[in-house]
Amino acid sequence: MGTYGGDEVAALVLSVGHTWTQAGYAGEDTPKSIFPTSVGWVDLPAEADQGDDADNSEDTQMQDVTQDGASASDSNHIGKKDADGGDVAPQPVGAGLVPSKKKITKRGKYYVGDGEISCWRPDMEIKSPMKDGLVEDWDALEQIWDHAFLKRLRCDPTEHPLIITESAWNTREIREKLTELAFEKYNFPAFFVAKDAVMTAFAAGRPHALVVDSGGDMTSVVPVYDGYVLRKGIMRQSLGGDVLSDQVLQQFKASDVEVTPQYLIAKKSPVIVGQKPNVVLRDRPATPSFHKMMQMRVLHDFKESVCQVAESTYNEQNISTRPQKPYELPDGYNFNFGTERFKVPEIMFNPKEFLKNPTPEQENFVGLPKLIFNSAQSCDIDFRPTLFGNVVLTGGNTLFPGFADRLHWELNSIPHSYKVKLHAPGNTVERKCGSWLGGSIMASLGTFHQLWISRKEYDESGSNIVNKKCV
Amino acid sequence: MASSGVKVHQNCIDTFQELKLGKALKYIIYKVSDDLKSIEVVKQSEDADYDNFLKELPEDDCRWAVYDFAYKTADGGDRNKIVFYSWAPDNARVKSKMLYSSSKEGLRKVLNGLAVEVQGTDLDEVAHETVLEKIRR
Repeated sequence: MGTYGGDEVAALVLSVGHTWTQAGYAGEDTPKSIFPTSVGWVDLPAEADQGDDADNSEDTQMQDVTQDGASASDSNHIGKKDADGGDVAPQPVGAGLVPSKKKITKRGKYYVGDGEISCWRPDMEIKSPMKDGLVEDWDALEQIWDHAFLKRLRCDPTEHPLIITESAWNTREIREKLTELAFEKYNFPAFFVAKDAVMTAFAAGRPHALVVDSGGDMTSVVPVYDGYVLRKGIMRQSLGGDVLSDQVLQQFKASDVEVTPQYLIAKKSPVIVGQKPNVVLRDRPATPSFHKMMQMRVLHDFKESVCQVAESTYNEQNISTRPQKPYELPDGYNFNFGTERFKVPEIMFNPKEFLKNPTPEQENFVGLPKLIFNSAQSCDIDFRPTLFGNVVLTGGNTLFPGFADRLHWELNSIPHSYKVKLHAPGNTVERKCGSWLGGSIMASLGTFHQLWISRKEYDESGSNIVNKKCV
Repeated sequence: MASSGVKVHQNCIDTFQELKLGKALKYIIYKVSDDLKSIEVVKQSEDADYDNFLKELPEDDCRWAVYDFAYKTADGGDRNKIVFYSWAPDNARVKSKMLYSSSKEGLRKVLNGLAVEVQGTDLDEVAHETVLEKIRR
């Protein structure tokens, strides 16, 4: 791999989002690998720790003695519950102690990659290392990096420079830690961090742009001017595809329809429209996080298959004349969806009206047009015409049919004197992987080599160099 | 800033000085050289016809340009302003868009005396009246 093409070694390009991770080689126009940014693991039983630590085992024994009577019935009870639920690992010694031990339980082997995390295992927890565009769980992130470089790209990190993308509001501490990770753990010879919004803007041919990115867990609007992020104009809220999926789930629940993911289904037979499913379930107890992820996959498919955005202001009467679309859940339940399929993405434009049972945080959500408007308005007045004239759409959640048309319509309905031009690449890859693609092209330019943080520079200046070279 | 590191050929600056100081040159078109290593002058012209200038901007590739824009002020006085254009039409290849966007700052900062900057992705955005409006603002 490293020697392919002779003189030039391709850089690796990695973009870790909340939902998807994209990894590949610089100069290519799509990522070699796209896999979920989620890791799975099973918590190790508490007693596994006891051998390591003398103090610990003393503690447990004492508790064992004091709780003797109670814990016998307790553990019986729990054991029974476990058996009902089909739990694989009954814990005879420490069963009664598990709750108090929760904090020091260690995670067992990690599972990464689509096939691994979607494979049912009792007690497997699922988590994304990213939250709100920031790294939250470093252990899990390392697993994602490992998987990307070693399992997917199968390359030797010491032979390739690495460029990664980050959110516009990433912190100095996180960038430094990422730099350390790249140089200390993986021994990359060179490293660069690029802002995803800037890469997206550049890939759209616009050094000045207002980048609207709507993904799984959030939506952000980032003004970019001359290739710099205007920090005070960054607007974001955690209204993304996951909230929409959750709403679909609630809607189903309200009409007494259970969303049963594939892993629970043993046998199903066809039923007529709107009838209760005729299904035989498997006995597969799972953690809430695993069940949720599998449900989200079904809902994701539902959204992709039937949902659509009204091209102008939502009008129930007009919408009800639009054709319905059938959809069948994994358990065989099927229904024709009419207005419902428009109401779901409508939440992006009018959360106050369409978001049902909002949490306190969700009550503060504003519609996307307003979010964009607020972002541009908080930038210097001289920049605003250019920003409004270069709105760039990116992220999977913007791919609903009609989304771009509607956004354009809405932005023109807000009173202001600017000419709005919306750039929404028709090419799905460009829309989903815009920032990856930007990083890929940039890192492939022969002239870019002078901008990398080299191993030597890192050794001389430490991780803080990232805040000087990659601004 | 994340920039491509593409170098600006000395000729770019010299030609610009000629446009700025002499009154003969009307516009200059710049591009990235074929080996992607530096920015060079594609064309310099004394033709004052704006439509001819616009014809120099390809439909499916990016360019930069400098135009010596002559206009009349509200009270009828003659004025000139030097306008910088970044041209990146939507149907240019992504690679080209990325290359030009990330190299623009390198060129612009060595051209001293630019009054206005125009980012164009379609002919409307670089039309005579659009630019004029921007200059007068």
